[in-house]
Amino acid sequence: MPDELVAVTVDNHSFQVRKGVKIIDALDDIGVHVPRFCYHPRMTAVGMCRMCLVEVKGPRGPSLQPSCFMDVADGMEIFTESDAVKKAQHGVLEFLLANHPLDCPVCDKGGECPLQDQAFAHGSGETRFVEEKRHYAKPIPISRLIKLDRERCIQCDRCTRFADEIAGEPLIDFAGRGSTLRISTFSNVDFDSYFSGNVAQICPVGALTATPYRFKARPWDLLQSSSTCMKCDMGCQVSLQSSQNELTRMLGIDSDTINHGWLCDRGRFSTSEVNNVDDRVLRPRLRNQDSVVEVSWTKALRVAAASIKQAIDERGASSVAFLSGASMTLEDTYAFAKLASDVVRTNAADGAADVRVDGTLLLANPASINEALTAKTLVLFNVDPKNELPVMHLRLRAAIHSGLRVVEVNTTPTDLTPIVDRWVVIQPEDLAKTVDEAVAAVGDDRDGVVIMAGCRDRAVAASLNTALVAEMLYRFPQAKVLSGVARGTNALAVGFTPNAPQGIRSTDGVAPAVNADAILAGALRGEIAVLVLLDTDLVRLGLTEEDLVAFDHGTTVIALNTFESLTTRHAHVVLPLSAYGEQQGSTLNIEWRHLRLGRQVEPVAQARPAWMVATELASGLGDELGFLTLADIMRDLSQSGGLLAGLSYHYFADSLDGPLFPRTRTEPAQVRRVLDPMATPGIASIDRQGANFSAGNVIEPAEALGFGVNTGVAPKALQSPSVAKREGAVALDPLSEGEYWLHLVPRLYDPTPELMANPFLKAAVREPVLSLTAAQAESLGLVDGDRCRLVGASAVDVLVQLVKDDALALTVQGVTPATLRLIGDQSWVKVRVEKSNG
Amino acid sequence: MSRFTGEMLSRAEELVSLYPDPRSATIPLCHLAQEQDGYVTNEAMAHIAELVGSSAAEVQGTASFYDMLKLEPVGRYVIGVCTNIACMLRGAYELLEDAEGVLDVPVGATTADGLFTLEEVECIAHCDRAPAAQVNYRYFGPLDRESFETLVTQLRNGDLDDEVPPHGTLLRVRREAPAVIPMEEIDRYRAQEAEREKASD
Amino acid sequence: MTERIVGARLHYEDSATLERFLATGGDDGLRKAVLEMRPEEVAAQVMTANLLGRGGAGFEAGRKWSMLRKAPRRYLVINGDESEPATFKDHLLVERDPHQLVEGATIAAYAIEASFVVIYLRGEFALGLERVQQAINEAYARNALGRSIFGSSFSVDIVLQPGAGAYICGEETSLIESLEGKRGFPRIKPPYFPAVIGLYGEPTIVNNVETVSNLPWIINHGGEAFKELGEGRSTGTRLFALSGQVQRPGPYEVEMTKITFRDLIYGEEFGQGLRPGRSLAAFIPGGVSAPWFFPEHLDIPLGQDEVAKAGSMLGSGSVIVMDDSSCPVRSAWRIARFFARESCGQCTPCREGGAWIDKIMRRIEEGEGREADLDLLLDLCDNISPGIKWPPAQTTICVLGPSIPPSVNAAIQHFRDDFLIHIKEGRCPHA
Ligand SMILES: Cc1cc2nc3c(=O)[nH]c(=O)nc-3n(C[C@H](O)[C@H](O)[C@H](O)COP(=O)(O)O)c2cc1C
Ligand code: SF4
Ligand code: FES
Repeated sequence: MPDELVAVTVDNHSFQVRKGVKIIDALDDIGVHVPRFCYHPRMTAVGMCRMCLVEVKGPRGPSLQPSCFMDVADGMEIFTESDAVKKAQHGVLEFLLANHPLDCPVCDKGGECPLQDQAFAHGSGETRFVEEKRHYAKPIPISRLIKLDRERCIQCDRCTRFADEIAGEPLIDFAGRGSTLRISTFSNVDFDSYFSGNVAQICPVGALTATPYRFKARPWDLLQSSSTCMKCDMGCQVSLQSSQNELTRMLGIDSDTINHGWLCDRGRFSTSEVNNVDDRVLRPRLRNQDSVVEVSWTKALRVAAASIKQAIDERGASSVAFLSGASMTLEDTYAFAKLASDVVRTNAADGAADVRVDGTLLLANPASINEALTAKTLVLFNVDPKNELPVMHLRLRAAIHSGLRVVEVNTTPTDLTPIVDRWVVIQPEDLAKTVDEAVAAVGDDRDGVVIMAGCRDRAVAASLNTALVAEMLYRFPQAKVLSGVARGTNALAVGFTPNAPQGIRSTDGVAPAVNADAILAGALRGEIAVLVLLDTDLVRLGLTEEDLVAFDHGTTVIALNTFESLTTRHAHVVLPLSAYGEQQGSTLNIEWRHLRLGRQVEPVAQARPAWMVATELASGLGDELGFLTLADIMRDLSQSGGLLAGLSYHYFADSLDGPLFPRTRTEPAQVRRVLDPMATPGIASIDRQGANFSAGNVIEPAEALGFGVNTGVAPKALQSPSVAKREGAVALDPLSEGEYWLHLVPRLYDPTPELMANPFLKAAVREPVLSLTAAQAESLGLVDGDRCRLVGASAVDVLVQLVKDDALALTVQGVTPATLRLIGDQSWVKVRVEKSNG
Repeated sequence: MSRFTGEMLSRAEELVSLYPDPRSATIPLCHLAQEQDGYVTNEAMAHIAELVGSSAAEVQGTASFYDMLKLEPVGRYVIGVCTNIACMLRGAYELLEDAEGVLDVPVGATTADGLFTLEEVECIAHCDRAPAAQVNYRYFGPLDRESFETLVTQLRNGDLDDEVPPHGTLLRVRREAPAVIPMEEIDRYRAQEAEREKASD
Repeated sequence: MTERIVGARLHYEDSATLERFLATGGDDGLRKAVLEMRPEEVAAQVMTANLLGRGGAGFEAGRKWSMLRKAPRRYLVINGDESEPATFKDHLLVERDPHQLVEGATIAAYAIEASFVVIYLRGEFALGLERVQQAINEAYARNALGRSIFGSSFSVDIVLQPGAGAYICGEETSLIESLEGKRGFPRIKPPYFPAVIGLYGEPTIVNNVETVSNLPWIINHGGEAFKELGEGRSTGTRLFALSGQVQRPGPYEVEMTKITFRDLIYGEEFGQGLRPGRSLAAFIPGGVSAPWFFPEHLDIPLGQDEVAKAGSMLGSGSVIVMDDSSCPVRSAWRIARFFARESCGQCTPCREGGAWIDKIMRRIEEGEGREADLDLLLDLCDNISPGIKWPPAQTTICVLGPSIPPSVNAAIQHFRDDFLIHIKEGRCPHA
C-alpha cells in the first residue's frame, strides 16, 4: 500500500510528504537534515534535547516546535532555516557544550560524534562558558561490558529508553534532577542485560562506551563491510569493522526486515573471541595415543582422506559420519553436504544437530519475520526467543506492544510470558490436551495464524516435538511457519541433515538419513569409524570427556574447528578453520533470507575456510566437488534446484537485505529503511570521513543468473494426530512417585568453546540452575540457594533458585544434555531430586 | 531492618491498594520507608520496586528526584532554613548563618550527635512568617538567632516531641475509610447510568 | 469590606474542625449538588461563574471541564503542590479549612463524573496533610465520601497523596507523572491538556486547591452571584499572598479588580506599607515567574487581564515587595537559582541554561562579574525564551524554563547601575 501523502511547505517550497510521520522524518525524506540528539527512529520520541527545533506556523504565527515530536499535517508551513531556528539551535548546542568536557582527542566517540560534528559545523569556536564545569567520577563501569562517563552525557534519554522500552529491562534510569540529572544503575547492581551493547551504539556522545572497544581504534582508521551476525540464525545486519587486520567492533545496521538496528551482546561482542588467538586452533595437527604433532595442511589432509577412504573400503560409507551443530556459512555447509552425499556417499550426515523439528514443516509454507510479527495470531511453539534468537525477542516485544496477539506454547515460561496473550503449557502426560488448549487459545479466527516453531526444550524428544508441530499444523492448515531454530538453517536449506525436507536439492548422491543423536549413539557403540566434525564441540552435543577418550579405540575423529575445546584436544586430526569475519560468503536466516557475510581480516595463522577443506578432501578421495571459488558454489547451489534456485550474489549490489527463498515468495513493498545517522552513528560519520561503507570486503556481485525461480518445496504428508497417537509418539508414561519431568532449556550464555574464548563474555556464564517454585521447593525440602542433585540416567549437581512463575515442572538451565546422558531420541526426561550433601 | 515487615508491611500493602495502578504508591512508600528508617535505604527501594512492580533502578530514579526523600542517613531533625526571595528579603541568609553557628555545622551537614541536619531549602510557603524554617516539615517563623536557639534547645530537650516526630514521619493520621471502590464497580455503574440516560432520551 | 468566599471561615480559631465546618454551612453545597442537581447543572453554574483557575495559568475551570474527553474513566486531581516562591494561599486553605477543600473536590468530582480523585499536597505540608486526611476520614464517616454519597447515586473515593519536594510537580503533567510513581518530568505537548490524556492515559482534570475551594460557595449562592463579584473575566475573590518588605505580610482575600496593588501594599487592612524611611524599588505581581512591576504600576487593579495588559501576570496571586534596601542583583540571582535548582532537567536550555545563569549571577553578586556578562545573560535568556517577552515564547517543554528570564531581564533593564557597581567596584551598593 503506497503511503498516503500530505502537502507541506518547507522553507517556502512545496512538498508532498508521508502522512502521519514526524516532521523530522518527513524532512529526512526530502533531504533536509535537522540536527538532533534524543530522537531515535525506533523509539518513542521524547523531545528532550530540543536540538531539532523548527518553526511551524500556527494561528498566532510561527513558533518553535520539536520536529521529532510533532506530526506533519496537511498544509503545514515549516521553517528550518529562519533566524529564529538558527538562533535556537545555536543556543541549544552552546548549552550542551557548556558542561561537556573538551576531551575529544581521547574520547572513543571522537570522529564519529554528532555533538562534535555539530560543534564543528555550527559552534562558535569560542566558549562563553567560563564557570567551573560539572564533575563526576569517571568512567564508572555499569556492567562488565559498558562504562559510563557522566561528564560527557547529554541527558538524551536514549539509553534509558532503550533499556525500558525496547529491552523491557529498566535497569538504568535517570537519577537526580535538573543539572544533576545523571544516568544511574541501582546502587551497585549491574546493568545486566543481553542487550547492553546497544546503549553504547545509540549513545550520541562518548558517555557510554563498550569496554571491548575502548581505545581500540579511531573511527577514521576503521575499515568496514556490511555483514550478517552468525551467532544465531536471526541474521542481524551488521557493520563489521576492523583496524590493522583485527576486528574492532560490530554495529547493528537498521534492517527493516530483520533487526531494526539492534544486536544482542553475544553477537555484538563476538569479535573478541575471533581476536583471541590463544584459544584459536592455529595449525593442522595429528594426535596418536601419546603424541600431538603439528603438521602441514597437505599432510593433515592426506591423513584425513586416507582414514575416510579406509573406513569406506573396510566398513562401508555409512561408517563415515559428518556432524555439526554450528552456524557455518551457506557455502561451507553446502560443500560438506556435497562431500558427504556425492563423494563419501554416506547417509550418516547431520549438519544441524540443534534442529529437532522436521524441516518439512518449517518450509512448507514459510513466513517472513515481518509476516510473523504482523500476523493475526502468532503462536510461539517451544521457542525462547530471548535466549535463542535474542533480537527476535526485541522485535516481538515491540510487536506485542503495538497489538500483536501471541499465544505461547512452552514447557516453562520465558521472559515474554508476562506480556503474551495466552500461555499454554506443554504437558508431558497429555500432549493431545496441550494441542487442544493451544488451538482453543488461538480461537476461532484461524486465518492469519503464523506458527514460530522451535525446539527450545532439549528434554523434549525430537520426534515428540515434530509430532506436536505437525499436529498444530494439521489443526491450522492455512498457517504459515517461521522457523524458531537458532542454528541449522543453512544445513536444512542444502539438505545436509535428515531433518531437511526430502528432495530439497537434486542430487544423485546419498541423502542424509541418520541424525545427530543416532550418529552419536552409534559412535558410542563403536559403529562409526570416522567422525568428521564441523566446528562442533561434542561436549555441547551430549558427550563427556570419557566418551572422547574412548574414541581412541576405534573411531577416528577429524575435527575442523575454529576454537580449541575438549573435542579438539581429543581429536585425531585437527584442522584449523577460519572464523567469523575472516571469510566471505553468505548465510540464510530463520525466514530463509539470503544474507551476505563480509570479510574484514585475514584468517589467523593457517586457518582456512571450511569449503576449501571440503574440496581438498574430495580430491584426496580421488573425486571433486566441482568448485574452486565461492561463485562456483553459488552457481552449483542455484542449479541444484529446490529451495535455493535463483541464488546469486548479484542482488546484494542494490539491496542491503537479500531476498527470501524460495524466490516465489513475495514480500510487501520494501518499507523505507530508517538509516538515521544517529541510529547507527559509526556508519554515517565514517562515510563522512571518506571510507566507503559498501566498499569493504563484500563479495563482488556476480552476473545475474538467467533461469526460472519458481521451485517450491513439496511438503511431506503431515501425520494426522490419530496416526501419531497410534504409533505411541504422543503419549508418555505418567510419572511415578518422586519423579519429575525435567526441562532443559538453553541460556544465551551457555558455555560453548567460542563463548569461553571470549574474554569479555565468559564471565557471564552462570553455574547450572534448577528453577523451582516455592511450593515445589518446599515439597522437596529445598530452599533458595541450596544445591541439589538431579538423578536420571546420570546425575548432576545444580544450584536451586526459587522463581515466582508458576512453572509446572523443574527447569534446568546451564546443563548440557551430556551431563544427564540425553543422547538418542528417548522420550521426555524424568528425574529425581536429591539433596546434595554439604 | 529495611524491608517492610509486620505493621509497616501491612501499611505498605494498604497504600498499594489505594490506587488503580500500584506504581502510584511509589512516593507514599518512599515516605513510609523514611518513617521506618529515617531515610530511604537501598533495601527499601528494592522492596518498593517489588511491591509496585517496577525495577529498583526506577524507584531510585524516582526517589532521587525529590528533595524530601533522603537516600543517605540524616539527623533525627532535619532543619531546613528557607532562603528564597520572601525570606531572603527578611534576613534569611543571616538566619542561615546563625543556624550554622548555633548547630556548629555547615549547611548540608549533620551534627556529631546525629540529632540535627541543617539544610538550606527553597520556599516552604510560610512567607508571611519570614524568615521561616522547617523542622521535619513542621514550620516555624519568623525566626532570629535567639528564637532559633530556643527552638534547638526545645528540640534537644524533647519539649516538641508531640509536634515534631523524628525525621521521616510525615502523616500521623491514618486513612480510615472503607477500601477504595473498585474501578470496575464505577465502570459498571457508569455504563448503567449511560443506559438509563439513553432510555430516558 | 470585601466579600469572603474561600476565607469565610478563617477568622475562627477552630476553622479546621468538623464542628465549625458544619456549623458554618459545611456540606450544604455538596448536598445540594448531589441531591438536587445533575452533574452538568453543577458544571453549568461553574461556567456561569467564570471561575478562573487559581493555580497560575488562570484558565476558566468550567471551560476546562467541558474539554474533558469522553471516556469511561476520568480522574480529578487537586493540585496542592504550592511551591511557587512567596505563594502561601493553599497552605492556609489546607491547614485552616480542609473540610471546604474536600467538599469542593467532591463537588468537582460530581460535576465531571470522576471515577477517582487524588488530592496531591506538597509533601512539606505535614500539618496540612494530617488535617486533610482527618477531613477525608470524617467525610467518609458521615457519608460525604465513598459509596452513595448522602444517599445519592454518586460514589467516589478521594486519596491523599503527599508530594516529596519538587517544585516542578506543581506543573500539572509533571504532577501526573509524579502521581504515577515517576520522576516529575512534565509531559511534552501536544496533547496540551490532561483533559485529553492525563493520569494513566485517561482524561483528567487538574484543579488548584483554591479553585475547588470556591465550589461550595458557588453551588450555594449560584454562579451568577459569583460573577457579580469582580469585573470582566476576573470574577469572585482571590487570596493574595503578600510578602517581602511590607509591614504586614499575609494572605488577603479581596474581590478581584476592586483594589489596586497600591491598596494591597499600603492599605491599612492589608500590607500597611513599607518600613519607615523605605521606598518601593519593585514588586512582583504574581509569583517569581512573573515579570517585575515598578512603582509606576502601583495603580493597576488586581485583575487578571489588567495585569496581563501591563506585561506581567497575576499568576498564583503572590505579591512580593522589594524596597530600596534590597539588592536587585541578589533578588534576581536568588530567583534564578531557584529555577536552576528546580528544573526537572529534561530540556537542554532549562537544565544547562538555568544552571549557567545561576553561576553568572552569583559571580556578579559576589563581585567577580564582567561587563560582558550582562549581554551574555540576556542572550542566554533569549535562548531559553526567544524575545524575552510575556507571555513567553519557549525553546523548552514546559514554562519553567521561560520563567527564568523575567527576573534576570527586569533586574538588568531597571537596575543596570546596581549591576555595574557590583562589577566595577566589586561591592553591593545596598550592603
Ligand atoms: C512550573 C509550574 C509550576 C506550577 N505550580 C503549581 C502549583 O504549585 N499549584 C498549582 O495549583 N498550579 C501550579 N501550576 C499550574 C498547573 O500546571 C495548572 O495549571 C493548575 O494546577 C491548574 O489548576 P487551575 O486551573 O485550578 O488553576 C504550575 C505550573 C507550572 C508551569
Ligand atoms: S522547561 Fe525545565 S522544568 Fe520544564 S520540562 Fe523542560 S527542563 Fe523540565
Ligand atoms: S528534541 Fe527532537 S531530537 Fe531531541
